[in-house]
Amino acid sequence: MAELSKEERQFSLILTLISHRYGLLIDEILGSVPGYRDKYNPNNKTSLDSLKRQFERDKSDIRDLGIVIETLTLEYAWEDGHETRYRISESDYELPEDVTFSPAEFSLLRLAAEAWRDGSLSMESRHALTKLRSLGIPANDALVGVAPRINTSNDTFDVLEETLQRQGVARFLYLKPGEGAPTERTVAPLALTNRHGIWHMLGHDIDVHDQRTFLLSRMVSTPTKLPNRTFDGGAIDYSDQLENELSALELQNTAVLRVDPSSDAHIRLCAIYGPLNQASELELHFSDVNILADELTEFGDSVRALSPASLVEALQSRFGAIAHNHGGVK
Amino acid sequence: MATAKPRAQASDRITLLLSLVPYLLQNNPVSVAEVAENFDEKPATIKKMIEDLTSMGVPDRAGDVYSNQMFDIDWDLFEHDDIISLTNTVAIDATPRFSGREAATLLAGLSLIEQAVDANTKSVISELIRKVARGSSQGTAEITISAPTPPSGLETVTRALSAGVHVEFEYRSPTSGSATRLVDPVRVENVAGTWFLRAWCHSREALRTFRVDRLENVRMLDTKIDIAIDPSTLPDTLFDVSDTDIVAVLELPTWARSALADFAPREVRSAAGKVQLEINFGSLESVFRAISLRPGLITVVSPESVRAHVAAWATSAL
Repeated sequence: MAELSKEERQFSLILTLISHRYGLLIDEILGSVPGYRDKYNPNNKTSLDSLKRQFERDKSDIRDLGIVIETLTLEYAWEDGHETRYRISESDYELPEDVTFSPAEFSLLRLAAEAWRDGSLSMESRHALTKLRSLGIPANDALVGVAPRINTSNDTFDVLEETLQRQGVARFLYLKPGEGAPTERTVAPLALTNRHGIWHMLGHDIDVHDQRTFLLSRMVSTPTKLPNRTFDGGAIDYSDQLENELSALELQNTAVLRVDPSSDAHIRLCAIYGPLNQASELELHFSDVNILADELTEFGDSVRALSPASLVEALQSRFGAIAHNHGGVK
Repeated sequence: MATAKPRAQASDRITLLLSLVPYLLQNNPVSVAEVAENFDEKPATIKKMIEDLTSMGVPDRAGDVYSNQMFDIDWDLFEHDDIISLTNTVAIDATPRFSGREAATLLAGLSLIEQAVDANTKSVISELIRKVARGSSQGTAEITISAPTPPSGLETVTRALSAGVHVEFEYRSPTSGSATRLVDPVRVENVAGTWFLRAWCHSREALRTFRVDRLENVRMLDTKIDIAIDPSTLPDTLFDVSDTDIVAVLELPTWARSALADFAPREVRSAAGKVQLEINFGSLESVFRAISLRPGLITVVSPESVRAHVAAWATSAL
């Protein structure tokens, strides 16, 4: 008989574990589930160990699908021993009965899933959509003309996301604005947040033993996930923490700009930050002076930074560099 | 897709198998065509999957799979009429929960959509966010999107889009100055944090892309659009700059090249950690915008006239 494909083996494993509410011992699994059974030989330690490793890999793949295989360790009261049983509990597996969606809600979820156009997470959103489709909800196309797009079209995001998921550690070269040369960083990712179109990563910096926030756009090399390194960040909502930190910074920092009222900059900035005052000045909050300076650069001389001094300086150094590179100012 | 891994295929297929069974149970019997449409798959894929499914089941402890522990269908109906009628199923009968990553992708997408919709839909979305989070088996992965304040005209545009009516606004384009535009909205898109409106412009009699933050005084009219354009027929590229005057070569460090991905760049050469990209620009303003994506890292190499414009533009801001 031809060897079963990986998905047939994993699917059979899922069926088998769901069917046995009280769980199965590892030997029962390896000795009965198609795909393992044909290679199972309890008397050959090498082949048994390799089969057990395959089971662990399958368990991890299946976990990535959102299906948790529980490990139950039962102590025997009557003798000094224990046994480990594996099972998939119904409540962990099944979408709760009251989680149902109307056609309008389903359409919104489909749009949300389709926002992920590329990168490894587009596969995850596709899977979410397949699961939603099993509910057989007809779509209504009320919002058919709205098409958000989430760009993760580079390896940097994929490597960091994978490292985050595995609680691993990544290494990359990082160029801080204002510094001439990049430095090597070794970081355990804790959260990835796209704020206002820019990907931020909160991470535990292994070398400085502290948390730092990084911008993916300033990673000079594609990160590599270090083999066999893990970091346990504990059960903390890091996305929430990063979001709160950035929002707090934004409240603290105020910039004052003078905007040419006849410019494109005027229309675009005021569509978001509200009208200019009588002196053609605009006050706005920001989280990071370098991100703001990057955003304002394209407006050229139609926007002048008045304060803070750090923003004035950041813009001057950008225009200075651009002018210099194009043979303008020496 | 460059990042596709072999694992992707196996996991796609398992997810489909696990989702197919509860759907079939709820809709028994059902035609192959209907299943294919519901899952957005080819009928042949669904047929193959059903055949595979009927060879799988739950073994007993000795490893024997008895027929009553397997999936089975009415084969006559299946082979002659393309109808799937389950006659025996095992183990699974409900939709599986989302993984932490799957839930995170849905939530992130929803938070982007939330910006573009009216107050009613916003409250539908906040309820949805709770439901999706409850539907995950592993919490949600630490991947989030926090959207900025949307431009003021966005909601009006979205409402007009749903209602299928005309929109009018003032628009100042870098090349032709300010003018009133009457458009049929086709789609609003968010690309890297910026909202764009794709629309049929009656003033120009052409499909045009507008930055939503550049629209002034947006009005939703009560006149219906005559011939609606199917938004799915729009090309993915935002701007059609084939009839452009400016073709420039830009140089930047290779690691930063993805910054210019939305400009449809063509690689001219690549050496010593730097890459040169040839790009068509609609106006000098878009050259300045491209340079500003990584200020100081991107340099126009040629033509000399564009270099001079960039130098003058930057110098005036000093």
